[in-house]
Amino acid sequence: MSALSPLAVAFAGSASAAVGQLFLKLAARRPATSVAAMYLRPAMLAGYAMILLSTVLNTWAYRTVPAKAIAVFLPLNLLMVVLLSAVFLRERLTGRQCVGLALILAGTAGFA
Amino acid sequence: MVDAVPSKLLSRACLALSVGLLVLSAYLGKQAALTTEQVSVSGLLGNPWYVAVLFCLGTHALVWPLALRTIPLSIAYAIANPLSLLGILVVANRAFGEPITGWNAAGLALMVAGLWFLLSAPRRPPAEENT
Repeated sequence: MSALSPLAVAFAGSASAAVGQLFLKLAARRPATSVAAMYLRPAMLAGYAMILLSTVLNTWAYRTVPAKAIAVFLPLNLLMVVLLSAVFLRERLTGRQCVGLALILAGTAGFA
Repeated sequence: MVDAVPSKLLSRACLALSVGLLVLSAYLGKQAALTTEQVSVSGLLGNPWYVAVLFCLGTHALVWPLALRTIPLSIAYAIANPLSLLGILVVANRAFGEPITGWNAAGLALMVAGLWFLLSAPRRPPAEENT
């Protein structure tokens, strides 16, 4: 991975985590007969795999990117999660919630 | 089908615990990065800092779905992200001596304002709960 930009690797890690979160929510929202049954659903396991991949990518990126700088990718990840939630889970934000989300995303500029 | 996984209060507690685990894993991840000579499976698994990262994220992976039981994913994430950033900023400053700049402070102020808007807004039930 040495030929890749650390920022590109961090972005890939962020995207992987976002898709993983979608899988976790898909598995968690359905009623479960037991806690164990919820954790063993295929969607849950797929979500775990995506998040594990994101930790490996982020650990590589941390080698050259300061810890707080890589935190920029958390809000980017948030935007991906909100978009995925809107498309696949039909979650909708109110106008006030959208203002809050916009402020949170704007706040990331301070970390860039 | 009986839903064996409980309640809204547990979900909120799990959300708070998840934020703490994310901040801790960021600290441990930076330590792992500073002490990793070569990125390989054996190299990473032989690094106790990275093993600690895996433990934290493993616990987070178990706790986070319980938060998502009753909290919409977009809302839970929009709450957890800025709180995690705040924690990471403080830890990066205290543990690694990374400076907190004026831009950092301005960004944090915007995120706190965003959190206030988000948390004080009347919640629109997601479509999944209307069906």
